[in-house]
Amino acid sequence: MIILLLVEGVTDKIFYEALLKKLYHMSKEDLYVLPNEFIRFINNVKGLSREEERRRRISILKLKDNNVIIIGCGGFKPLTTFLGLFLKYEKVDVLIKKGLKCIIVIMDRDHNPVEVIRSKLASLNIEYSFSNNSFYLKEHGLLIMCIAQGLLHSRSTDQLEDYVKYIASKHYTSIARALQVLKRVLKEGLILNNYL
Amino acid sequence: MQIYVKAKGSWNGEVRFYIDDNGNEQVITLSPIKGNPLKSVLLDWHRIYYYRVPEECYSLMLTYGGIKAKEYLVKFIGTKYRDIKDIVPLKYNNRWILYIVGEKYSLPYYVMGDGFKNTLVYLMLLSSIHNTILLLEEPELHQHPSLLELVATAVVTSSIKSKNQIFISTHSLEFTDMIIKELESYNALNKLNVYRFNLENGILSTVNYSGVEARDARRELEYDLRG
Repeated sequence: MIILLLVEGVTDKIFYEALLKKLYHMSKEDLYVLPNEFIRFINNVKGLSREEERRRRISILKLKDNNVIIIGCGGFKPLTTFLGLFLKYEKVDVLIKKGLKCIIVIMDRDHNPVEVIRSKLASLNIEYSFSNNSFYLKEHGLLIMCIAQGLLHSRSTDQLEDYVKYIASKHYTSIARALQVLKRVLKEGLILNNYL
Repeated sequence: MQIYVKAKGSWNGEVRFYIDDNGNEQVITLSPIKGNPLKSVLLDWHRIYYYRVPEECYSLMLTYGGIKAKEYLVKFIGTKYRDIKDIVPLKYNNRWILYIVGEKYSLPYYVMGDGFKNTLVYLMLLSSIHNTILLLEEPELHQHPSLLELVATAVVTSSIKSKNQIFISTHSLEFTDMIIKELESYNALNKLNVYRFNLENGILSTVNYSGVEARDARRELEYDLRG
């Protein structure tokens, strides 16, 4: 099974990659474990396929026969563009036959991901049924799940930072210790190089 | 929606079979184009080398656009070639040949660089015809990007102001980007349709992108629209 996880930026990609590794003990793999049709699509997206960008923006995680492809598309607008191009890709049906089951789209809550996906599918004339924040594309037999990131409370930023802050608050002591060590190392480095 | 077209046998100018969305083979025949030949013009790169093609384009330009069209052409091409002062046909060995006239010398069109020849023919043709279907085959051939910009500007101007419907085949992303940029400057991106063709195992498939989709694909993800 292949799951495509589309996120907005590189920070989001790093966050979800670490999360999946931690939760499910998934291992990182090279792009070339994926079907050729997928690699060809990625190679067409020059903004993601240049070697340096590919390393920054794309991660393949594996657990048994399951692959999760995480792509940091470069922002909210590029994410929706990427999704549109992918759904129009002439080999998308081949990819579904080769195991692509689901596309998970994670956006900041303030972008209202469900409405964004709804209007994108409408502009592509794709028929779907909708339930539980998920779109089922009848023609392709593919599921698109929307996740709005950001916590629902009064001081929420409606963005990934909510999760990061929450995790940081739970691990305050360890983070404070790490920061102290970092500060000491930096100071030593600066003294050593005659900056202080 | 994707349409798959499969050609069988030798190419003779018509598509014989295609496979519809349900996988059924259908037969279609393309009729030859009828009517005034000026209403549909095909320009491909090797025509620029033929004697009389530039001279005929020059005549068309003056016939339909008058002296203003020529003045505009000289001024327009002068933005990249400052030495050029005029473009006129001169008689040599009993033949009328188009000459590029500078301040101290004149050169026949046929000794100019391929990119310049290509650009000049495109500009003369595009500035002279109206309400016509134009088929342009790979205008980017032999072109320096700065000259290609002139062609892109002329193509878009011709489409919008002269109401020509223009079909362009291209392998150039630079040219595609230039066309998108020019159309945006006229706020006319909705007039653009990009078709990406892919031939695999004898089956030709095509995906259609609207102007806005093509712009977003290029600007945001540098998507290769050529397939």
